[in-house]
Amino acid sequence: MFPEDLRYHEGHAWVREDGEELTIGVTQYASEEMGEVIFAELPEEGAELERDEPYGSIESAKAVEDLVAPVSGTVVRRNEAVLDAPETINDEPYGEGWLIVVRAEEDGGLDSLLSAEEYRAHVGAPDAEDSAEEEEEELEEEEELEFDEDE
Amino acid sequence: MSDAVGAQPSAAEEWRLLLSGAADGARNMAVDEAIFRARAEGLAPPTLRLYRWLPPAVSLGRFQALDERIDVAAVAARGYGLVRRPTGGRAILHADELTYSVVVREADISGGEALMTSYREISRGIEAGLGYLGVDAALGTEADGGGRGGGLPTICFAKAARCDLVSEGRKVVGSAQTRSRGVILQHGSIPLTIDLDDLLAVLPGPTDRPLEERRRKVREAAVGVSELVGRSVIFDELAGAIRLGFARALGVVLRAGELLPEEVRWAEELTASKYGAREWTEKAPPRRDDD
Repeated sequence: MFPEDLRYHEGHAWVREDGEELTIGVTQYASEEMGEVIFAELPEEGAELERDEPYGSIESAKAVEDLVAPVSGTVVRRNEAVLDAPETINDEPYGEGWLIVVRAEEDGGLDSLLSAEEYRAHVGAPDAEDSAEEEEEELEEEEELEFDEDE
Repeated sequence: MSDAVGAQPSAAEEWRLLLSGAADGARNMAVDEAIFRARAEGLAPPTLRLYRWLPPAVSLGRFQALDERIDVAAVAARGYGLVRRPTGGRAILHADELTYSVVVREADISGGEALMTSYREISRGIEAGLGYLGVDAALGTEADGGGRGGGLPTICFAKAARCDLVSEGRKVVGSAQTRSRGVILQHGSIPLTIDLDDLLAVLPGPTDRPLEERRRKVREAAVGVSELVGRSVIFDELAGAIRLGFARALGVVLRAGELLPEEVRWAEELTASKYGAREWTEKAPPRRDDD
């Protein structure tokens, strides 16, 4: 539910650092809260993001909500596949459901993002994660790996 | 996206009630957005607005494709309007109905920070209002109206979702929400009567199926307040009931007011530059539509 290797923004974005590039997506907590995602509007390559400001929209079963930028930076690419299959955001929020990759500005706010623990506290989730749920997640990950190998 | 922390929600005690009367589609959507902006900037109080559409209009969901499933020629031939909403969902024909809009900060209502709890809270007010007329309505489930993939796609009122109010198995209130910067706009359509011929003329649904079948599907899935009450209910009567029910269920005082000067100005600007502009209405989503 809250992978330790990611960093988080109060607006329910997760950020994965990969060198100078940051991959951004919607947290599992938020994707479950929204319900089935039916449409995502994402900025194109080259668009500028401003931390804490909306950079796109997401339509779920019954609401249109802002996507809020966790950092300031420039969009390097967006996930075209998720535009065609927005339900991937529900299915794999930390994997294939990623949204955009950005190159952060030097002072883009990366340092003030939350840890998994801080984000967990922010959304009011219990400290001790339901172990059964975690096991289930691990199982799913294993299944995905197997699936990848099959391909 | 909703922010899950912050102060404990405290019920705002005094809300503004706007009885806006009738206006065309562009104006109606522009006023809703102007109030939304005014609440975001801390100018406007929490607001319940009740209004109707003159001429009747078809409204499209924020990202819904304007395609063959909306008969634009039939809309124009009837002199009806066509507008794109700021909220999601499917097309609606706003004819003989009452439309409500609620604009609040997340902290203004109990459970406002979460999507479903906020729907539930606002819906309690509408439910109580309908209750005054003897209509027993409750939030729907995915199974109502055929659920996911059921009903008639494209037409909002042929399909109930868990955010819609359902009475006797049929949808009576269809609502949609948008959120930005901790402010919620929820608006919803409450038909007094549903004219099936008119509805299916402008929103024909899947034309590969016989008209009679489509009529039956809509009739089974949706209902107007008058039919539920068993007599003709007019706009003013429903407005009075919603007003009473809302105040009672949410424990707020509704004080009749007017738009602020800023809201008047923004509504005029938004009518001209956005909701009344073809560019906005005809804007095709960059990708697929859900249906």
